[in-house]
Amino acid sequence: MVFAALVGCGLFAYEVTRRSRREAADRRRVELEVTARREAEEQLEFLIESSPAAILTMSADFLVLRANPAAYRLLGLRQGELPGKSIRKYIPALGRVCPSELRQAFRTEMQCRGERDNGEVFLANVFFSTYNTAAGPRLAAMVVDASEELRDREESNLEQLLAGSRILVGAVSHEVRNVCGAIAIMHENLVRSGVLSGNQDFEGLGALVETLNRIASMELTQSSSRPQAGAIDLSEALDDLRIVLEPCCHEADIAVRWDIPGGLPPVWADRHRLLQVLLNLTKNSERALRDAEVKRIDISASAGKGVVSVRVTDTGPGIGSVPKLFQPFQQGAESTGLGLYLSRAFVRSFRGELRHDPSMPGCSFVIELAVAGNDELHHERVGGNGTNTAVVDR
Amino acid sequence: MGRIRLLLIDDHILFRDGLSRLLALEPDLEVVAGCGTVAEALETVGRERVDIVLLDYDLGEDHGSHFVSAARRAGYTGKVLMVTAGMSAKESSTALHLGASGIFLKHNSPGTLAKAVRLIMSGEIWVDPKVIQLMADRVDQQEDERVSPLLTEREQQVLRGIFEGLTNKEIGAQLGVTDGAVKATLQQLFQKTGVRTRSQLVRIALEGSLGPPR
Repeated sequence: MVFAALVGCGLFAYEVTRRSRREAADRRRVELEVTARREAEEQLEFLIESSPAAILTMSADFLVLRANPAAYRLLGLRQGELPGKSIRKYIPALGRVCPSELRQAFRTEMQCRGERDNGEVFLANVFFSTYNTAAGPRLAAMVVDASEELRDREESNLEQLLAGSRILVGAVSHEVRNVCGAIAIMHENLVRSGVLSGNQDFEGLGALVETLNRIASMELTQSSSRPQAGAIDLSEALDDLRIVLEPCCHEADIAVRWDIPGGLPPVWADRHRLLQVLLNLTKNSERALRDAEVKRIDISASAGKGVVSVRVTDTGPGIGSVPKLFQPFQQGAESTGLGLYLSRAFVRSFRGELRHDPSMPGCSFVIELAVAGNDELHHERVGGNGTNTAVVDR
Repeated sequence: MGRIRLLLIDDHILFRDGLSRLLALEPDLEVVAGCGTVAEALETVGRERVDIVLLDYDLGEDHGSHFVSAARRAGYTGKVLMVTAGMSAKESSTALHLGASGIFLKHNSPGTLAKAVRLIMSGEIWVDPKVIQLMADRVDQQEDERVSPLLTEREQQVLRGIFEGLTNKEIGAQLGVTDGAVKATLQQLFQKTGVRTRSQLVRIALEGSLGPPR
């Protein structure tokens, strides 16, 4: 009996010890979990509190439940004033989601009008989602004021339009001046010959040419406007091209091969206009590859002495009339026939050059851009050995 | 003294032919030939004695300046008068740098061209006043292009405001300037970095292209 009692005590002690160890382990686990949860909550809270975007949660009747400091800043309210207020006053479009629809899962974004407490309007980028709680469906939204971006973008677009128009007008005026020059010479020859002396139509024609000449010469005096070009990272411009080009090429079964070495120096260009030129070249390639057996566009870049060259080559049938390639209003062109003409004018506007390279199979164009800070490019190019390819070290 | 021997280089045939007829009427001028390309012209100056080349700058796929440098290398010692529908300031200064004796704009009175030719033959230089104005403007433009990539104190302050997510108005209030002044500084930053929006600017700044924010 004594033995049985001792065994019983031993078993009891063992069980107590085991349980106490297990409880200690559970306690440690729970403590670790609590610590981890607290850390996660702290991080989440810090993320929300320090976020530059306004973050709000709302009930099914669009009353704000919680908001971070950025939300107060965005809507022009003092801390603590938002809970209980309807979001419909500030982001009307968000309040138009039907309450019954809140049960449906939303995870989307929209751009809409926002209004601060003082009535000031702003452009809001709203990312919102729905979630369910025991108290019913909830709406969570992240709101960003995109007004400054909109203003920057629109002003930049306007500048771009004006700059592009100046280049277009300049290029066309140049052609008109050439023609006017020829007419004026012929008019002068006729004046000197005396054949049409006293002919009123002839004299009127002379006056008309002179007027047209004056109009076309205005551009010469207006080219002192501030240049739009600056030092740009060519790789970034090519990344932009990749984003625009690749989906279209993928749809058209055209392979695009990139050979862009790292460490290219910054070049002197206007990023937006350079992208337009690259798009013009690649869109031409896309058209040329419609019926080609091998459909591929190769885009490469290489740095030479004071210049970076970007080459766009396609495996299409090539180009017929090379001498007239860059002349405006080309017959047979699929659109206006101004694409290459304008592209060259754009590239030349930032002291670069656009040329066709007939030595390559298919069709190959090269854009040469001055390395930013290198003022010698132009001297080298125009003072080279009489060919357009003299500047590039390959 | 013999007649001044001229070579016309222009890819516009009608202009070239018309000019040839016009100058042929001048008793002291003689048009030796007219060419449409640099290669033809180089061949002509190698063969004929030419006193002055009347040279268009824009020759389709080629530039007049190519002719000047190639002709000089080939031993041509005569003069060159650019006769152009328009050249940029940079192109003009390059042409003069390479040894052109003048720049004549095509939209000027054709009668003046003979005067310019005679002036150049006498050792003077003829540059159209509009071209001089363009070249003067170019000096300012070069200053703009040489803008230091380093940020001014004000640009640093505006950039800091953008990092803090402030609007132009808020940055202006913080710096005690109008939001228009902030916008102007922002435009300078855009110009320096080649970007168009503040979010692109933030990325460029973070990548360190503007130097570390102070």
